[in-house]
Amino acid sequence: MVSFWPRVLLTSMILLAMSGCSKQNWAKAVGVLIDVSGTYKDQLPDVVKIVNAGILASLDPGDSLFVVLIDDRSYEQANLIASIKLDVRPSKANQQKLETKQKLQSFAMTARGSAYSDISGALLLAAEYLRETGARRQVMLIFSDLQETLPKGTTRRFGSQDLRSMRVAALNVIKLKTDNLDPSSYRKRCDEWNARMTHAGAQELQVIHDINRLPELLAE
Amino acid sequence: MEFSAPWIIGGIVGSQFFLFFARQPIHRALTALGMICSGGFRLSARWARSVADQLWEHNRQTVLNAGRHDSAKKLEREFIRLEKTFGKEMSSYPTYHRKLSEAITQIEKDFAECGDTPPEAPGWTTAVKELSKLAKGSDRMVETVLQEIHKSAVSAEKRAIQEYQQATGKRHKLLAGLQPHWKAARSALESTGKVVEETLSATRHIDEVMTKYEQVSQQKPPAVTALIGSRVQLFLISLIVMAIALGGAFINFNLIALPMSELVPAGTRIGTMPVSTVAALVIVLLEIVTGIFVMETLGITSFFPRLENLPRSRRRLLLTGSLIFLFVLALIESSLAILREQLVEQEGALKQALAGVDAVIAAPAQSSIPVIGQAILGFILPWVLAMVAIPLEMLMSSGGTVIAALVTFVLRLFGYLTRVIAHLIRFVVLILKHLYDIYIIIPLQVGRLMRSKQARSTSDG
Repeated sequence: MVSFWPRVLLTSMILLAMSGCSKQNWAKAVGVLIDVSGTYKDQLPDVVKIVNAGILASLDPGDSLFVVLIDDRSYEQANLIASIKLDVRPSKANQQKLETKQKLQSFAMTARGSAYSDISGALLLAAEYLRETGARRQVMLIFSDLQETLPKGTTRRFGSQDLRSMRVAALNVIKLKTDNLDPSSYRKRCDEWNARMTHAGAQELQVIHDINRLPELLAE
Repeated sequence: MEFSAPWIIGGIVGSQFFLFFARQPIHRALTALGMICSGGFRLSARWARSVADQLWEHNRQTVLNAGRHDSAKKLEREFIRLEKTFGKEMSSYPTYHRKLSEAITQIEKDFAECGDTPPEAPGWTTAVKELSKLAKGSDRMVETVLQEIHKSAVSAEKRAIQEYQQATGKRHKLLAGLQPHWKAARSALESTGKVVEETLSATRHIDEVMTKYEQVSQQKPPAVTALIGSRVQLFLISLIVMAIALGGAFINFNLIALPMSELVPAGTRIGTMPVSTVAALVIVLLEIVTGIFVMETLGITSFFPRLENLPRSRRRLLLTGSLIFLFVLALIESSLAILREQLVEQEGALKQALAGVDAVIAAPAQSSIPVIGQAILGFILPWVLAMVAIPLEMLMSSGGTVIAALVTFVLRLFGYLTRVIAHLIRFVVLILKHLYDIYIIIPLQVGRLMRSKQARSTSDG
């Protein structure tokens, strides 16, 4: 018969091992928002290259990626141009990455420009998908000039929890003609977006000019 | 607020008088404070010294016990070796002895034969000589007889010489035949000498081990110092070997960590570590554990006394099982190493493809040397890691002594420092008292003068 103390020790060890086995989703989920409005459409080939070489390459098995198009009205299912959850096996995940690359390249060739740019709608759509993954790290990357123009009759308001705990970064933000005349308008635009996002529960908006910092941002 | 000189002088004089009258209680307070502080430090020093002494004594006893055990084992081994030497070498001694006896007997016999001289010519030659003297110039008949006698004497002499020569030749042949017997005797003697020499050498070694055992048993200080020295040396050597083995384990771990993610889900984690990493770590640890079992069943290490007491058949079974398990682990690692190489190639090609350099994807690996190298490394490393059990045991057995010696040293140093601080406090209090007296020197001297005057007047009265 096993004595008392060894049994207690064994039970404690099992409990410890069970508590150590975390059910938390340690993977990351990345939402990429690509603007195709008139002022930004020229950037599309470069953006797709960055997404392929910088974002796809940095993803690990188990991570998720959602690519959302920013056009006239972005808050609709059709704007989700790519959605993948990488397999836990590296070889399978690599295959998925190659397929996504092909998909994005064909998108870059066929994409049409839009008159308006509904950034908020794309943000809300991507946020819903990111939240659904339950990933520990949720990152939103916006490729846009951050100039939002909504068609008449479109309303976009963020709730206080819409972007909860998400890390948001704007990349390859091009300067508009008006920014060149008055740089403060660019800064004001960035500040306004920062205020809106933090109000929606996101972390502070990061504007990244150096694309080489992208892997660092995703690894954080 | 400013003070003028008279105020300051007044204050000093006032304080001197106050301190003069408060001298005794303040001295007593300072003495008490010094005693409290220095006493505390002295107590700490005493405690540290006593703990250090106890620890040292315990360590000494442990080392002595271990040394005694080692010496006893060595002695036992030497006796077994001696027994084997005696059993092997001395069993051949009767043969050598018989050979030697036979050779000597043969030599004696041959020698005796050599000693046999051929019979001399008949003794009548002297008579014939006398007769020839007598009969000179006498009868012709007699002369003829004498001539015949002379002839027969000459022929007899010739025959005798011939026989002598034949006998000498035979003797020489016999003497020549003695040579192999001499050689056999010499060889038998040399073999016996060798046996004796080996036996003497074994006994000399036993003497040395016995002397050491006696020294350890009698707890002689040089023996203790030598034992501790050898333990420290053992500790350092095993530490170096363990560090190298740790490096091997690290390489091993890195070799299988990446391919393990193909087998184990990468999403789940234990703590902050992915399960695949933990699995790779577990495999490396399993190799070490299996190695420990192999060494244990071989009788090289003794981590588990229960295993030592197992019957020989069961130990052999356990050894076979452990070796098979280790072989399987080595095969798994080898295949994982090959998989790793493929994954690394795929990863590189994927990165190139994502960056837009499509041509590289199709480029096959030019050389199979890295794959073969990694596979061999993956197969060998588990066996190398299995050897860790030996330095691990050495480290554990000698580590206690070294750590205890270090703790003893630290405690003794602490005790010494606290004793020095206690002394310093005592002297600081003394200096403070003197400084106090210097400050109130004027009223103090005045008081002393008055007291002496009073004493003198009392004695005069």
